Amino acid sequence: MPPDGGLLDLELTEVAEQIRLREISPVEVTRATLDAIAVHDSTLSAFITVTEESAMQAAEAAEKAIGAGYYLGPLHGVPLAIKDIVSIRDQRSTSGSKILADHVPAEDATVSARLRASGAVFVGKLNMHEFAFGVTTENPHYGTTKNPWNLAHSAGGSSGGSGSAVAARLCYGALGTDTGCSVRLPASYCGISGIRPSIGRVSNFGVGTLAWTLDTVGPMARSSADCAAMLSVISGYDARDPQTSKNPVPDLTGDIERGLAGLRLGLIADYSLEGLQDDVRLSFEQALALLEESGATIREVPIPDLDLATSALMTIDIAEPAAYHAQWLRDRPQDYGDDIRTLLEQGEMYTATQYIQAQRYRSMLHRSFTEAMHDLDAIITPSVPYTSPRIGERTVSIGGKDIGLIDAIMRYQALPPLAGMPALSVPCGFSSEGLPVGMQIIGDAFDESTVLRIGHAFQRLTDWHRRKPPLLS
Amino acid sequence: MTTGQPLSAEQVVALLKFAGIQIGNERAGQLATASQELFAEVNRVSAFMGPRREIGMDVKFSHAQDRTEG
Repeated sequence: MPPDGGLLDLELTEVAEQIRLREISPVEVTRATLDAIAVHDSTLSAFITVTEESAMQAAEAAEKAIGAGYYLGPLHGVPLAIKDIVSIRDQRSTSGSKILADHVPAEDATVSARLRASGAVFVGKLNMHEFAFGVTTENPHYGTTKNPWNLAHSAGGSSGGSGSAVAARLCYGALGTDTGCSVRLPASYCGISGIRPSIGRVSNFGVGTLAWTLDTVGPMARSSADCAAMLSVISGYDARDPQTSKNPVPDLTGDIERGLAGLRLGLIADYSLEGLQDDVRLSFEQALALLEESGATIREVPIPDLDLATSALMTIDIAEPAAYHAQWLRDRPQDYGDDIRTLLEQGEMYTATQYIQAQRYRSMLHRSFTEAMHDLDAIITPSVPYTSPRIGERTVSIGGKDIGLIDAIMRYQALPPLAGMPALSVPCGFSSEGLPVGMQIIGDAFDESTVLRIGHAFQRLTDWHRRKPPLLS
Repeated sequence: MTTGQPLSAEQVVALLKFAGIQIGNERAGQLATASQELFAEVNRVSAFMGPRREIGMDVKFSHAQDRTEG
């Protein structure tokens, strides 16, 4: 039995139930979480700031309220951590940068305020790729985040701290942000679950910008059910973010129990199963077989011109950040990490027509996906075609060929942000090296409910999401 | 549509100067090299979309695809 009595092995929804029943206390859970951070974070570099004092105060308040009969719901008294690009009032919020190293926001982001109002306990701010503009979380200012499954391997990015902390049981759930891949990639590398919601489902108020037309905030946790619990709280219209939708938020936690029977899943013809590392192919095919045996039907659907998705994403996802960072790039270029500065300078050289052509491609892709979804409930792909590379590697080997890291990541990851669809990454196996393999479930716009339902049903049939990194054994 | 050509270091300096950013020749050379592959990718999308005049830019797309309102 580990020193915490197995408390940290519980999933968010499981610890929440024990808190509700007063079998364990928020103070006990928060203390155990902070102790685990103290033990492991010097190795993992998952946190930029640990907010011990305010976390214990929030835990004590939660304990008192629950004891007095004021239970606020499934996040009450549960320790969560927040990517450092999301504002928490009176806490340093660096966006992983030197430029904002001393930035202390006076108010919460809407997502933080909603989590706080639901009784969540914030244990800290998480490491990330500088300004969320990269995929490795090799951060020159706050250290490189490690993957708990193998410390020599990448935790991914940009929400690498979120992926690493959840996998290492240093919090029960985390917020990440996803512009091109930044929730789903670290979720896949670290063997956890992470959802990118539809654009407009969750407010971006108080969240640092990377690319306005792509940015989303998304929950990362051990299971699909945990993600549903967090997404239920942070979703919905916000007058302070004009991009948020007035679409009603469905019952995400209730809907996930409906199982797989009758669901129609699509594989993208000549794409979902192409160009995969052998271990990824094996795990993904086994996952598909399991989904089919359990009542889902699977068929291939053609979606044309996907080979341009990476190009379109890289156009938009470099031009928009260049516009956002224009003043800092001119005033403080030396304060950026070299990779970020290079990308921003490249963005300054794009033409307006190149940017518009990429947005037009996006409109076309959105129509193609919407059409495909007319008689499907979700489209399934691997999250990425390979497993986490070693830290510092910029190519991955697939089928004996070295492929550039960005090309390999974006093959599947670029599709949901460009098409505007929600997507969930869940673990679906492990490589022979013991590294997690992820499966991506893409839903129709604003249908997070079905995506989470499929993830949850899959996780009731498997235990990949319950496996524990060797670091913790 | 034809695709564009890679930029030289001198062209990088000139382009960034036009945008109000000063960089040295050495950095311009590195940037020109680093940009070749990326700009080729950017040009692929432009070359593909250029002739497809029937496809617009769905401005509402970036504003939440709100089906109940749209």
